[in-house]
Parts: sequence; C-alpha cells; structure tokens
Amino acid sequence: MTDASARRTRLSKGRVRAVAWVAGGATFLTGIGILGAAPKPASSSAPARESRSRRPVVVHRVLRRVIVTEPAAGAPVRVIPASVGSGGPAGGASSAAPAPAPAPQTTTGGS
Amino acid sequence: MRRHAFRAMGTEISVLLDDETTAAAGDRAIGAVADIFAAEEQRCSRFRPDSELSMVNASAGSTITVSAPLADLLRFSLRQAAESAGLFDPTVLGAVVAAGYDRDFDEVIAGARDRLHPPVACGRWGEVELQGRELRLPRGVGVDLGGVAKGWTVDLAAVAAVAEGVRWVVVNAGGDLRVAGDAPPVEVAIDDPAERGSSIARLSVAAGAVATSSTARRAWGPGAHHLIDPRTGAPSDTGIVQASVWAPTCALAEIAAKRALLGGRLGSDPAVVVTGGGDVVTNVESAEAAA
Repeated sequence: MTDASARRTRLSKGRVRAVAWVAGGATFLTGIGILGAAPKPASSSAPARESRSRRPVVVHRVLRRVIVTEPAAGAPVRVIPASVGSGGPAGGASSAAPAPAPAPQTTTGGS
Repeated sequence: MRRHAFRAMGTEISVLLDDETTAAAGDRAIGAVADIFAAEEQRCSRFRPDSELSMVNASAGSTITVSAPLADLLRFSLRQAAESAGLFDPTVLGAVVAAGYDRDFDEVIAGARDRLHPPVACGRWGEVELQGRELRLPRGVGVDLGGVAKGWTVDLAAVAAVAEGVRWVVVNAGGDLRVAGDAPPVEVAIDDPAERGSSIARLSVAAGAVATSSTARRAWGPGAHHLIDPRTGAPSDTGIVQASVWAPTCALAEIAAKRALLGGRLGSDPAVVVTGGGDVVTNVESAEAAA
C-alpha cells in the first residue's frame, strides 16, 4: 500500500468526532428506550392505595391437615373415608338388591 | 334398632340394641345396664361420701377390706400404672382436687372454679398395698378411678346385656363405648375438640371398644381441665388435646387414650389424635385402603 492510498482511506479528525457523537447518542437513547419500556414497580400513589383498600376480603376455609402414619394392623377398626356418606357403606348395591341396613351410629369425644 | 339413654356417672349413657331381639330381652338388657351403672357409681364415685371409694380414701394409712369388684378394679388400675411407668396413675386424687375439680362437674362449672392450690405431686401408686381384698393406701394418698371406672363399667354392662339374650349391643358412656355380641360395623363419629357438634373423623368399629380423652371436656378455664399429668401434678399440656383409641375392652381403651394424651404421641394402639395446632394424626387404616 502506498502513502497516497493510505491517506485516501483515513478520515479526518472532524469526521471521526462526528461518528463518535452519533454512536454515543444512539447508545444513550437506546438505554432510555429500554428503561421506558420496562414494567414499573407499583407506586404509592393515592389511586393505587384506593384500589387496594377496596379489594374485597376473601375468607379462606382452613381445612384440618390429616396425617396418616404407619397403620396399626390387626384391629377391627377402620377410618371411614370422608367420601362415604353417613349411615352405611357407600354405593355398590344394585336396584334389585335390598338396601343394606344403616350402620348403628354413635359418637365419642371425651367426657 | 333400639336406643335407650339415661344419666349416670355424671354423663349420658346410651345403649344401642339390635332390632331383632325380642322386646323382653331388650328390656332385660337395658335393665341390666342401668343396674350395673348404678352399682358401680355407688362403688367408685369420689363425689358420694357414702361410696366405697370415699370410705377407702378416708381410711388412707390403715388396712381395710374392700369388695371383690373394687379389688379387681384397683388391681387392674395398679397393673396399668406399672405398665405405663406411672403415666396412668390412679392416685392423682390430690392433684385433681388441687386443680379445681373437687366436686361433681356440674357444680365445678356453676362455680366458675379456678385452680384451688398449687400442683400436687403424684406418683405414689407404687406405695399402694393390695393383697387379695386387703388394701392399704399410704397416708395422704387418695384414689381417683374416674375414667377407668367408667370404662370398666361399660365393659361389665355390655357383657351383661349380651348375656340377657340380645344379639349385639353398643354401650356408650359419654364417649367411652364397647361393641359386644354379633354386631354389624358400628359407625363412631369422633367429636371435633374445637367445635362442638362437628366431627373430625368417623370410624367403623366391628368389635371391641373406643375411648376418647380430651382436654376440651371437663374443662373449667384456660389450661384447667381434669386430665392431670402425673409427672407435673398439673393439667396436661403435651401438644395433644384429644386422643381416641381402640382396644379390645373399654377399660383398656380408656387407659390407652390417657397414655396417648399424656404421653404426647401416638402409640402402637389404633388411634386418632388431635394436636394443639389442629392437625389430625392417625394410624388407623382407611376402609378404602383395606378394601
């Protein structure tokens, strides 16, 4: 490469400075754009507080936790599943068969 | 199905009979149950000054002769105390009275009673001497057979009812119940200790007995109830508020329920317990899983 051809491709100081300003400005504007498009955290403005205070109270029914451990075997006692209705074993009988007699019922709860 | 109810031992006694039994046999069975409860209450009540137990407690420090049935019940109770290493203790009378349960429970509630005295030490069951019908309580020691006497009486009554000719019977004394005879599976709803009138689980019981101990019953204030922990002499506070246990007899179920509650854990007996946090813990197999 000759000195003359190298002189032809080299940019002047002014042009280099202009290109640098354009690149820097574009980078700056891109950052602002990204920040603007990002979701904002909830602000503590008055309308937001109002909407929160108007939110209806939801009462959750707290169900008991049932923990089943290693079954004690051999005893003639069973837990009746909650799905089985009161008064005897659930389902299973055909319409022709007589309905099973309701199981005797009683309660226990300490005295 | 025939149902009969009456009051005895400070609670409701209910009798369920099969409906294939003749009316006469049913009447005889119900009569036998009522007679047995009347006799055992007169023998074992600590609230009746003329009961045999009151006379026993008044004779602490000297040797007396007791009736054969009371000797049998005392022998059973002392054996259970030994087997539970004192977790079940029939000599908690002083501690129960100190905790405020010094009269029939209806009167305790009416008086809105608080603790009467500081906790009283228990654990002197090992000093009780019983040879045949000869009994000697150490001076200053009183016997309280409350729950175990009830379970014992339920067993006697159930056996007597079947002997009168009924096919099967369920005798339930305030939640301590025994199924006797050739009974179909009996559905037993376990009360929710936190909410009267609702249940936490239902059991199907084909034979044997179920008893429940609960700090929610016979309670007269925060932390004031009838279940004394012999290790502290004060009402129990072990993290379990209710224990329902199955056993072959009601007396054994009653002891096992007390042991589960006072021990603060599920034992090897089939049981459903409720913790202070409201969890229901059970080792009883589900009817669904067993099918």
